[in-house]
Amino acid sequence: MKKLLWSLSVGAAIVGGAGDAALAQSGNKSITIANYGGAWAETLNRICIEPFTKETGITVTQAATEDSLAQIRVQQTTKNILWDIAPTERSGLPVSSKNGWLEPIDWSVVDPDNKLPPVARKQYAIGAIAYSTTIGVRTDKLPEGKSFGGWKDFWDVKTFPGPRTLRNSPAENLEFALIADGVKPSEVYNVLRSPEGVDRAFRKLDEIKPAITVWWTSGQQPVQLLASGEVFYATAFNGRIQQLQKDKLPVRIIWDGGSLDVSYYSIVKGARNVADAQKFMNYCWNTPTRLAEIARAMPYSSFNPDIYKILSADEAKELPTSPANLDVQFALDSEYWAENLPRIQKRWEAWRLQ
Amino acid sequence: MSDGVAMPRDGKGAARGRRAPLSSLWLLAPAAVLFLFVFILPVGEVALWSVQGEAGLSAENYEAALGAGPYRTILFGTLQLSFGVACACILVGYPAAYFLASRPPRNRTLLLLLILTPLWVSVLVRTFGWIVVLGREGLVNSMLIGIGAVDGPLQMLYTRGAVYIAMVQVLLPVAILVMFSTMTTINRSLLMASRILGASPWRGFVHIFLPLSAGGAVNAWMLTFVLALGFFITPALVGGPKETMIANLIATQITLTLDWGLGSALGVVLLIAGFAVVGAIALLFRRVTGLSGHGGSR
Repeated sequence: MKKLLWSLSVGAAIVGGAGDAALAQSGNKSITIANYGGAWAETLNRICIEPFTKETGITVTQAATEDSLAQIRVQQTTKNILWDIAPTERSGLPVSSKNGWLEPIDWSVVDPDNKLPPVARKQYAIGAIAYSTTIGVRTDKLPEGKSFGGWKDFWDVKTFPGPRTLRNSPAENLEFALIADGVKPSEVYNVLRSPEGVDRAFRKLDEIKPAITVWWTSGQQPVQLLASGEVFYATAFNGRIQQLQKDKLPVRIIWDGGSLDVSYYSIVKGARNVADAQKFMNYCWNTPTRLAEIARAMPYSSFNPDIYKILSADEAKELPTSPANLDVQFALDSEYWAENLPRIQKRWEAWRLQ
Repeated sequence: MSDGVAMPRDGKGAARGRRAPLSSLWLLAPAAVLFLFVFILPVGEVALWSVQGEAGLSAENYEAALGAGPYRTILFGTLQLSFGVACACILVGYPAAYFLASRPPRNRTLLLLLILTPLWVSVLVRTFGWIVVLGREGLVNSMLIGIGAVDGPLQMLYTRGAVYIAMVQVLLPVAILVMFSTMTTINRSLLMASRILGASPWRGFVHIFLPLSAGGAVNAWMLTFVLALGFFITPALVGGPKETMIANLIATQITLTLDWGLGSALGVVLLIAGFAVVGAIALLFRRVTGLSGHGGSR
């Protein structure tokens, strides 16, 4: 009996203590950021989160996510909001804006000096960084004396033989096919908006299909395939290819015809701490000194033009939005894909299984 | 472990005559409550999503899933692949289980341990292992090129064969364990009796051991088949351009196109197809042999 009483009192003490801790937590301000994890999360931690907490006393927690859109939907339908800030890439932004799952951004807090271009200043999201889906080439596997230029060469399996990989997604591959077929990067969506344009892209994809040994699904996969020599040519996110270069692998990055995409961050509707989330957005994604530091850590660039006053010319030319690289790429049209993905996805599956 | 797919005991089985008294049914209550909350309710909700159209009930998701088109192709591909993998597991695992069951108990422990060890390594790691082994510059290709058997690297990774090998490797220990547990219950003196009566060892095996252990093999087949149906990571990582499993397709619908109705319909179809195949096999087995799935001669 004595033992029972003793354990009961210990139990009560633990429960009581936990209650106190929870109380203290709610007294302290905190925000939760959903993020993709890995090197990007570490960079954010070092450059933004730790100094932000030190300066403001607001604790910032990162939650890892792969597919934020599905999770935003779950949180909104169950009314159990776990995140303050969530990434809303690609069709994520148009779909969640349309469904009313996001808070509007207060631009007087996030961008008071009006530095950001329209592409980064959306009603429901800030364009935090730009990244690009580019071609990575194993230079040691190139035929003697040939130089690889872009999508036309990717499709040219006679001059450039060898296994290739593309992402398992119609988005951006239809665009790449059209560019290989002679469409100007700036024209791809005009062509894709007509049914004949989609047919044309699929016809062009037919040509490259036999050379695709694998359709990749996660960002690290094409880089691994290049590194292990499993494929000679791959599409991959620019930062990951540049990481391979840093590791001294014989890999070249081709910006020509690259698909420029924006990594958006939004505030989730019903978030507990909207005001501090806006403050954090300004602190991390719109302060030139910190943006320049992010670009130095990872070759992803932000949209605040003032970073080019801080970065050296050499550092700037490695970035997807540097003027020279910007001109040869196209911007992925997330509106187009939000509207057309469900329909084209089905055709994509059918085509891939043929 | 085999309980999940254990076949219903038929009237001839051990269940007859030993019916549980009603008063002890409450023992099932905790399991029934758990089952209700973690299986029946969620699956019921998924089933509801699958029939929700723009306006009220609709079968459009099932039309998309089952009508001619990519989804039906993938569904049949998944069933076919799982069928093949389960058969391969039985063919490879049966002799191993037989060997294991015929060892003296002392040696068994070590051998069982060897078979169980792979189960402790995550599926992801084991799949990556196959990438290293089968790659263009991997172990097998380096060896083949080294001894001059081939001129250039063979494409082994990203083929249907690679999916078969990797899935069989992942599921084999499960199949062996299920068959082994049935084989250990077989009364060995029956075999001895057959020898005394003049049968050859082979005849004894075919007429006594094989029928008595067949139930275990069928159970192992069903378990590996059901597990294979839900495979996701392995085909995505080592499969070729045409290897898409239904699980990968469901993930696309849930996370990418946000078509939860179609995703749910595909899930329900997979569940029903799994039940149908397992039920058909169980029924067929009973018809053919007159035995229940529980082998042994206790």
